[in-house]
Amino acid sequence: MSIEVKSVEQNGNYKIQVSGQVDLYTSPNLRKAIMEAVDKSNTSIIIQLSTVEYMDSSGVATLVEGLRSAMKQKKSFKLSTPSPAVRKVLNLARLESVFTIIESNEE
Amino acid sequence: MRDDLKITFRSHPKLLKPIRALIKNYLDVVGFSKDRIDDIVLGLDEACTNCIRHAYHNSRSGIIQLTARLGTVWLEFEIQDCGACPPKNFLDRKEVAPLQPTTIKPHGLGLIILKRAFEEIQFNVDNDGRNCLILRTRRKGFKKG
Repeated sequence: MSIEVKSVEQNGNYKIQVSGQVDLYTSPNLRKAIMEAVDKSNTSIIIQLSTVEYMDSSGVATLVEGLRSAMKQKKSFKLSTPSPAVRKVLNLARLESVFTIIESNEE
Repeated sequence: MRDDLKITFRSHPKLLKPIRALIKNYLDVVGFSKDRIDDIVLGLDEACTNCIRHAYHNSRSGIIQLTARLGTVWLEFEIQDCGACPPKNFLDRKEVAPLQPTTIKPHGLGLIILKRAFEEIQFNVDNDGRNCLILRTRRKGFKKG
């Protein structure tokens, strides 16, 4: 498996650290972690994406699904420090403005 | 236009990673910039993902054939599968900009990415009933026009 997903809970909120390549094969792992975090979190979920080497539309769809689920539950959903690969696919899919993007020192 | 590369692989998503690596190396050899390589690899990955998800309905036993052809002006990829035929006008879907989280279909993004990665896209079904997707991009040094 070419992906690593670590979920860290702090004061009822969740930070998910993603590393490696996110594609059709690996995105179900990310989806599981995100949807669990959205359901369990008190108010906020941060997805740390600085060490993602590659992401395709399966990964983007997973992030969109997480965002939509968080919005329904009135929780905040942010992407932290997306790597150039993540920024590229968000840009190609015209979704950069849809997500709240923060830099790591803002977390 | 000559065939530079022809590979056949099963419709298993775990094979997408080595296919990406192979194409990335090939594009580097034929002289594309890193930025274009990333776009093209992403577009091809989306095309192969579509074969797995839509033509073969996530079955891992289908066959996908990827051919790269290099001409003086164009680089062309052909992706063939023997799965279900997509809707007739699936390439005609219009982009709605800017996309919003409430209107995005989580699985409708691949085609948007594919269309932005390549300058020409064609789809046909050949005489043997195979789906053939042709993707073209201009070689380095050639401008649109």
